[in-house]
Amino acid sequence: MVTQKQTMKRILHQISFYTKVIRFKFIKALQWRTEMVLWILLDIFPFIILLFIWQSIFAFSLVQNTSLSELTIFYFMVIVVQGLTSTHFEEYRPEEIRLGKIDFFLIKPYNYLQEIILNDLAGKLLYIIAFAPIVTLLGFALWRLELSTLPNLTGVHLFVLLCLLLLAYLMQLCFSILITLSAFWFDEASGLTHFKWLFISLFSGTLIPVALMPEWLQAVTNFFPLKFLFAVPIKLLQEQVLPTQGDWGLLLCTIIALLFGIFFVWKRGVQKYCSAGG
Amino acid sequence: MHTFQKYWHIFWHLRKLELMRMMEYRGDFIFFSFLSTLWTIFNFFFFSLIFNVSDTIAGWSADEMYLLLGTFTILDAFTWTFFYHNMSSYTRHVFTGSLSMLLTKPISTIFLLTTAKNSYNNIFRFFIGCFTVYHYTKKLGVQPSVWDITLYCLLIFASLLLIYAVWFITATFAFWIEKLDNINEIIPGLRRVMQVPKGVFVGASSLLFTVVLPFGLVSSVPSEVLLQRADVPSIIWLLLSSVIAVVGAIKFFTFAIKKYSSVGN
Repeated sequence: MVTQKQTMKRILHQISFYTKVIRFKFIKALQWRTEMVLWILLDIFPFIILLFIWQSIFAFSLVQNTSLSELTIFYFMVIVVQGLTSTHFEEYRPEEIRLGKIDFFLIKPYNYLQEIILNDLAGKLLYIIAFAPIVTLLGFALWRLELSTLPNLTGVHLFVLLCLLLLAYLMQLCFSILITLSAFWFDEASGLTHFKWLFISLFSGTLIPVALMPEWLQAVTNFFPLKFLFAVPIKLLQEQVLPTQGDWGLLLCTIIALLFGIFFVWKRGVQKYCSAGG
Repeated sequence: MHTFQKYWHIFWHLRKLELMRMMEYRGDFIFFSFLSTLWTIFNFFFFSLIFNVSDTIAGWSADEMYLLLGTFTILDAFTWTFFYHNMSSYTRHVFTGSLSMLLTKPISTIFLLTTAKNSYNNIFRFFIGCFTVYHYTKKLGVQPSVWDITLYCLLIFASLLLIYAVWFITATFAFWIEKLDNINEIIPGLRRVMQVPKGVFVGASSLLFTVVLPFGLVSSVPSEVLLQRADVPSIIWLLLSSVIAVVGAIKFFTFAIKKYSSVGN
């Protein structure tokens, strides 16, 4: 009974600690709010241009297997899913490892991985607060223009969607952490982020709906777990298709493999790490 | 003439310095050249996906569209070779207060700010763009005259000036806006506008991207010249808007510099 109480106390203490850190990081991120709003607009903009491209295509001819309204909803969903799940810290974090600036975290009961994750969570929270009204406004405008309709989702769909989005975020987080940690060995680790975006763009179903892809690309997209980042959540939203048991298995196995990968790379990396006067 | 020679000499001297820097980090050069080539291929691949389900984009066939993309790739190579590095350095100078150093130099500050830096990582992107334009011009059976080619080059130059000047104006807002490190991402963020035919934009978007901020013309109009179907008003407006943008950028910088202050550099 005493042990249970102690465990409970320890968990509560940890939660309180993490909450304080996230609050602190949130306040820190708040000073860059204008920058964040600009990032949101810059993230949305390319998809708006894609809508213009498709609009011009439909002005000349019809496209098999889809309509302009479906494509509009597709790109709107891409914007939403991207806003909620994407991570970008691998663009600047590797520099900290390369320049030997992580000594601080190696001697404190708060390691570098915790710092990365909590910082990103706080940033994401602020991002969502700024992102929600903008994307709602965009959705409303598209709805007013009769280019999109509200998806018909039940409680189960919404719950599954929430789980998928959380797991997609976790997967993106793992990719970004692995790229960051590669800086222990590789000088230009931040450049690897280009490969991440290339692979995600190609094989996760962000460019065009899976149904419109050539057969070989459909097969590759359906084979790789990257489909859980965009294609699967968007399919759920558009067609109300729930992931199969096999999908869940693949998703969980991928995330477990990524987590093991992170702990392995982190352990090896710290052994290799050296700095002077940091 | 003497002033021009002086600036010409300085320009190439700066290129030599950057080349020496590149040679120092050869691994970086190879890695990022590879990445820029991949992104270029990816861009063509994306449009090939669209052409998989449609025959035209705003009335442009696949081959015509690839010619346009070739033109865009040439512009994009300059974006990442010159513009991005110089503009990043410019805003950094403003934010850190080290602009004072440049203001005291006996040459034009704008010249120094806009030409001091460059990278060679996108040189392959440039060649891919040139090759694509050449290949698809041949494939389409178009035989541009010397005049068409001269006008194409002139319009590419005007487009580059337009992009650079608008970017410079945007970056100059750094004098007023602090805490905006991504101010230099605005123009690259608009690149999608440059890689589609101007006919894609209709109504208000057409007014915005072909008249107010004519980025929708920068790849379209030169490509139309090669395809021998360009309309004169668009050509004139592209040339004129680039001149207006350059004059506006210089005036705006002269105005903004009064706002600048720094200590202890």
